[in-house]
Amino acid sequence: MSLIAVDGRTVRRRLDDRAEVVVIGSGPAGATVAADLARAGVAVIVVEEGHHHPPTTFPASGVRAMAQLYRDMGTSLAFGNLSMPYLQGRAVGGTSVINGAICWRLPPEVLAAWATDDPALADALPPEVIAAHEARLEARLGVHPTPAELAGAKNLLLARGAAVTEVAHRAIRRNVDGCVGSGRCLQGCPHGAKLSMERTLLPDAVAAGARILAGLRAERIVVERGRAVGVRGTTAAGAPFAIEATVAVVLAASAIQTPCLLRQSGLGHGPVGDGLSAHPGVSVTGRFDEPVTSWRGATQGHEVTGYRELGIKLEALGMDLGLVASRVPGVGAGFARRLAELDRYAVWGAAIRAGARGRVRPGRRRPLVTYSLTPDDVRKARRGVRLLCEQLLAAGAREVYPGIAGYDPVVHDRAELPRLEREAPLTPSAYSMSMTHLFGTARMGSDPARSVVRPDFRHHATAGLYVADSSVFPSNTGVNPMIAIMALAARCAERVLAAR
Amino acid sequence: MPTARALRHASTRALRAAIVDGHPVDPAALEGWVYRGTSLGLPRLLERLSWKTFQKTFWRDPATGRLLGWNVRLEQDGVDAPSRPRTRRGRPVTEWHYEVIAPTGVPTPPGFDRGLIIDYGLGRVPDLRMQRIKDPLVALTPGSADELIGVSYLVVGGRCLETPTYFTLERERRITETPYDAPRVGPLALSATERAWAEALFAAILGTDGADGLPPFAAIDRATFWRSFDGAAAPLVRAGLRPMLHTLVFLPVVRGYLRPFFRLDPAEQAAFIAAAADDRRAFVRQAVTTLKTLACLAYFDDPTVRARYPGAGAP
Repeated sequence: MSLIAVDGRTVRRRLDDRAEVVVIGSGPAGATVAADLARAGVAVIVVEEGHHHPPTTFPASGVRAMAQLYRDMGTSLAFGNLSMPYLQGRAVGGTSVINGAICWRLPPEVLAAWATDDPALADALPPEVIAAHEARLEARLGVHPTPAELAGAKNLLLARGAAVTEVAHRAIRRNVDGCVGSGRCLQGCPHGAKLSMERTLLPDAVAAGARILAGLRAERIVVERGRAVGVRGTTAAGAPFAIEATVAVVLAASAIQTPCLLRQSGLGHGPVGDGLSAHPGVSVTGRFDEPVTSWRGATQGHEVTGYRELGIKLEALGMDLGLVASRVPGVGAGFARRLAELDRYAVWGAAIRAGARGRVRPGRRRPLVTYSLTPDDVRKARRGVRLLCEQLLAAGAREVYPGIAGYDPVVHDRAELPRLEREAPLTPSAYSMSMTHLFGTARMGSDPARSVVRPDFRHHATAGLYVADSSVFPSNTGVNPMIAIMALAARCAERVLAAR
Repeated sequence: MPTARALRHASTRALRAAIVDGHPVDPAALEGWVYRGTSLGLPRLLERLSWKTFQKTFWRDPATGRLLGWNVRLEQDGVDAPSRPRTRRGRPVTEWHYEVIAPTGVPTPPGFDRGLIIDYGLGRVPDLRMQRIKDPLVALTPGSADELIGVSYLVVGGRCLETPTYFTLERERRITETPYDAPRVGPLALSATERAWAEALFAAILGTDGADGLPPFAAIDRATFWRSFDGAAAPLVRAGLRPMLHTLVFLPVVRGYLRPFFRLDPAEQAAFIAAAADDRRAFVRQAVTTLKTLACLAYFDDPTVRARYPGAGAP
């Protein structure tokens, strides 16, 4: 059975369709909602802007993969006191096609904080229910720790560094089956070993009767007499489409696209598009005497968890040659000499649980995202750089490159690091950062003035409209959110069923 | 279902049944392939006057995402002879340009809507003589696009007129060239001159000169990179590249060189780039960082460069 019912690239004339529930977006949230509802006998249509790409079409080259699978080739920018790219997948399966396959459950302290801030969420999101969904979804996605034999040197070196510095660390739990350590998660797994949505929950949904319409860009939620009754938009070939929803429309289009779609549809109720939170990341490159070969081994197979209380999580990064090279310092002949020994360089990253809150608005051609780091966030970033340098040096790196403008370009000794944390500038523009894991732009809550959807995922002002993606998270989580997003989406599906 | 070979001598009724009973075709399975076509159902005299074998291609236009195609004329060497394109000025003769679309909203004869439609009215090279002709296309085997069958029909005044021009398609080889010029990329794209400036800066940033098996930037294939960047990068980033580029090209004029970057000799270019990378102004540093990232992405997309790094894989 074909995964895709309609390929919008071939639809040149108006397309009309109808279902009980229309889900917008086929990433982790949309796939979970679609699968759970279809299994319950609901007629579901999933509308996805991206296209379906079989694993055999995934390129090894970073630039080709980014052009094929990433929204705007990975060059979407958030503007603020430091312009940062944010990465989103644009394909059937959403960002799960190009993420590092890192799986974390929603940390209990995060859920508890949400409940403290808004007690209605304690009833809406019972920890045991969320945990049960997480366990079920982890089983479906084959989540397990990365075995050492697949990890590759970059991950094993991080384990070595963490052991030397005596900080908590662990093999990353990933949603893979049959991984051969090709290091190509971020380009789409060519072996189909990453159990992303188009290989798991979307086929489950289709087997249960759901239909996936790919290459269709949703542009407006149709609201009649205060109720969401469908979706309109344009196919990739330029034809209009209209899909009627007799029960509900579920938005699962990401924390960037969901608020834009709400606002474009005239549903600007509450703080929609405000409160964007994220995990900005810094990376540090280290030069080893031994081969590291960053582009081989599990893309992201090891993490340091011992600094989570500081709002910092360290991870080994795997990426294609061009991206590794871009993180090696220097220009000109000296840079070329380093490129010749590119296999000696490791790039590790620190994800920051930032306090900054940004804003998303629909623009003329693309969403406008603004996000400025707070002084405390910059301090965390600087500390993240220091901790990464420390781990790299402890793991045996001969030298490390902090990459902070206005500070020493090279550090050779751990003894130099306290000075880095004292003297490296705290100007945001001195850092080179990127944003992952976006949350909170249609947040959940009981107060319509402070939230966009109710604790049961229903839009405060529009009947039959639900938001299921990370837009509803009241805050960031400090960890990789795919499993948590899916667990909350499963809870959303329960609410849609209950209201049916 | 019969195979394409078995259908060569089938009756018109059997060929029509193969269309009506055929199986859906996944457009992605066609993408990038040349198919060998065999005309069926026509009287032998007509076939002799026209052609018995031909090629059809299926090519995804990177600029629009549309699945396009064209016919290739073959020398009529025999049904089982290897494909030998007829050429003109050294290039294969192409004709009958089309787009492959879903049957949604397309007038079709009853039962002709099970697969895809080849629409000759939507091709990249319009041909008024062909715009009323459409071919339904179905697979002979469920879930496989290796063997297909199609037939032409005309749409006149909203009515469909069937013809006996059936054909089978058998997957032959990957597409290696298209008859189309490079896609138009819009006002944000760099001009040829600006692109040459950017490549000069890329070369100076990378510093590769052939040593250690790393070819100079000028020696690699940059076309895929530019096609990807112009076709897929965010408009703001493409728009932002131009001021960064112009800054780095003309900054040497006021930094004592009195000439733009492209007039500097290689040693001066290297010295200027090294200084710009550590410039006290964030915008200049950011320009170097951005161009360095692009240079690395372009450089490591090249197969000869990738081959230098074990395990990196072909692009």
